[in-house]
Amino acid sequence: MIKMRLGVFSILGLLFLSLAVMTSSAQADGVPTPQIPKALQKTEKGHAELMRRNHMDLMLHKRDKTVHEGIRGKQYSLKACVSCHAVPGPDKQPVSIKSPKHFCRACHDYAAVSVDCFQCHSSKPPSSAGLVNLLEGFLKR
Amino acid sequence: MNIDTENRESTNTARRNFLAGIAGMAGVSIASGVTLFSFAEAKEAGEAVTSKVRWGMLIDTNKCEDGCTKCVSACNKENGIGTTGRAETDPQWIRKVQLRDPKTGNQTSLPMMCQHCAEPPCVDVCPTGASFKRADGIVLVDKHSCIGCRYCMMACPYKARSFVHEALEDQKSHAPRGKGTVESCTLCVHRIDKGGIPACVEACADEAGGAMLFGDLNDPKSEIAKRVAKYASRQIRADLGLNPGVRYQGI
Amino acid sequence: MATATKTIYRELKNDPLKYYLAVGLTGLIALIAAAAAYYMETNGHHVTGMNNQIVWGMPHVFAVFLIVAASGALNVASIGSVFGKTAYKPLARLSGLLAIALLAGGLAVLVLDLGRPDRLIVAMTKYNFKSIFAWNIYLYTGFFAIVGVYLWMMLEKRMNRYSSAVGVVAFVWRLALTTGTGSIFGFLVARQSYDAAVFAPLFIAMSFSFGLAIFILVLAIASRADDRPLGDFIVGKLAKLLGVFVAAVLYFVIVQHLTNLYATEHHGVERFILLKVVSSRVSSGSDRLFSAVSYRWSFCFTRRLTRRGHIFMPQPVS
Repeated sequence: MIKMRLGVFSILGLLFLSLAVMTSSAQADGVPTPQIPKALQKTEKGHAELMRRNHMDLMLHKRDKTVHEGIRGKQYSLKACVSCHAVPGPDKQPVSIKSPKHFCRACHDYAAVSVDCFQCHSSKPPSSAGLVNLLEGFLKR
Repeated sequence: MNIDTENRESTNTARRNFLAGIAGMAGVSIASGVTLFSFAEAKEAGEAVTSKVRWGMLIDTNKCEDGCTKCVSACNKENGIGTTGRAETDPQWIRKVQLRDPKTGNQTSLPMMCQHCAEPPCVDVCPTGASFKRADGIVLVDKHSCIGCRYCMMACPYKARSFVHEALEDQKSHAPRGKGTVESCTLCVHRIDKGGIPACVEACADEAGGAMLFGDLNDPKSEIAKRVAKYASRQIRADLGLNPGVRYQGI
Repeated sequence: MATATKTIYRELKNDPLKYYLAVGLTGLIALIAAAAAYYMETNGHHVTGMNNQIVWGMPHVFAVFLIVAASGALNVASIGSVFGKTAYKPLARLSGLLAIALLAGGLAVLVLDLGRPDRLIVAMTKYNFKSIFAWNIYLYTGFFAIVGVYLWMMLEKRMNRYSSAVGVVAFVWRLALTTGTGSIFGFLVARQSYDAAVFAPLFIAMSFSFGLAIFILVLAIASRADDRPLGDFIVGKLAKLLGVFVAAVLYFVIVQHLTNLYATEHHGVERFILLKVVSSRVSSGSDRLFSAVSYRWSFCFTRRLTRRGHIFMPQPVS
């Protein structure tokens, strides 16, 4: 009985090892990374690093501030993030979250984490009139 | 300085007067705009709203025409509210209601939207606290916390809330709405926070009878505060003690 | 009397056919339920008849029924442990198990009927304690825990001496739970047919009645399937008890309606609920309950000019 168990485990172990070797050898340069589209504007240094680690916490915190306390502004606006990180599609218009080219999907598809923000929020920047309004609002303050 | 100023009587003051006149005209024309801007600009960016302000509306049903639905179309356009093809489940943030008193035969029509009560029953019953009242009196649904239980829809005496049954696309970026959550009139909070007025009020003023007035009920100098102090107005179902922010005249 | 009664517990007979039939049947029902939930999630709640007028429909009817019955099903065990009636003691285990099963079923219907069941975690972590719904979440989960402990006390021999104490806790907890469930409706100021303090005791009476009814059905089926006659004594007792509970429900319902009929303010809604009479002034439409917009006037909503269609209000008795 024990011999059988040993046999089963050794076969399983070999299978896992071969699987690991196969998948890793498929990428000559190591683990694949997501292809993140470039933003439309340059921002301050460290923005990318900060967002990479903290964007979820920041978003959760700031959304409560905006919704419950009415605090608005560029730092609190999802519209601002979406506008700056808009990715043009084949028709030169920004793509929506449905397209895999969307900025948020670059990482979220890779990590297989569903992003449900855009069930309610618009994933495209506001229309040109709205965008002008938005930018004016930011400039005024 | 010891300069003898008596010698200056004969100075030509025409240019000075001209400049003074120009400055006066410019001042008068800009001042009104600045004044409107300064008190319409409710708050600065990055600052929280306070309870110093209480937003409210005054609706004069005498000016509200039967059959006119400009406020409804404006709201739907502003917030991206479409139709599902089933009239019974279409979201309605504002609706026109036609009233007839069977005892006297008197008919009137009025727009009904979220009344933004001071003691909202929808806020009391929400299990997650998603339905909440902002400090400046606007009652909103925090869709991040809404679980779609619809208890607030049951609790609202005005049937102001709607439930979104289907996945939505192409929402307006200033009005996020999604499937499975409850929504209602936001008093165009995205416009108010920038110093504007709700879309329905604007549409009524521009295209219809001008029955709706929006303003700060706490500011004694505002048009709405002066009018409610001067003319009788009532809240619908005032007996419930909810103190809504929307008042009606002519019913 | 000094004679001690000894209860002998026996396992059900080993009949593979009956067992797999039971498993198959319940599995089939579960599968149909899952399919129904999936259909509702993908197509929207309107498929259950829900719209902006009918906010809580069929799913809630069943969910509330099951939850109320769950707390009542525990009653049989309570009669044994708390009130010391030895005749009911052997039934206590089935009672506890049935209570848990019914509550799980009711909560499953309720959670799946949420607009966003994926946000259940939000519901379990963010609370607005002014809402009776929020309290109910604690009451329901606590019920599972307490009945679980209660069953343990009853099933393990050396713990039997504590079963009475835990039984008292379970009894009080289940009364709180049913009061909370009734208060969901009793606290609705906006709805004329609810908004009454009588809803809490009405739900308590209903829980006794529904819970015992379901318990009797399950007991009868189980004992018949196992060829284990219950005996006239216990059957007679249970039947009489059910009669008493049904009478209690009738009492509270009568009190609720008589009180409403006394107040002119409520005549319209009573006419609607009891007689299904809608105002004769309207041309077409279906019965929809709409609470009065104005308290002083008797309004008749003839038509709404927007996409919501025709809404009617019962003509109050003038």
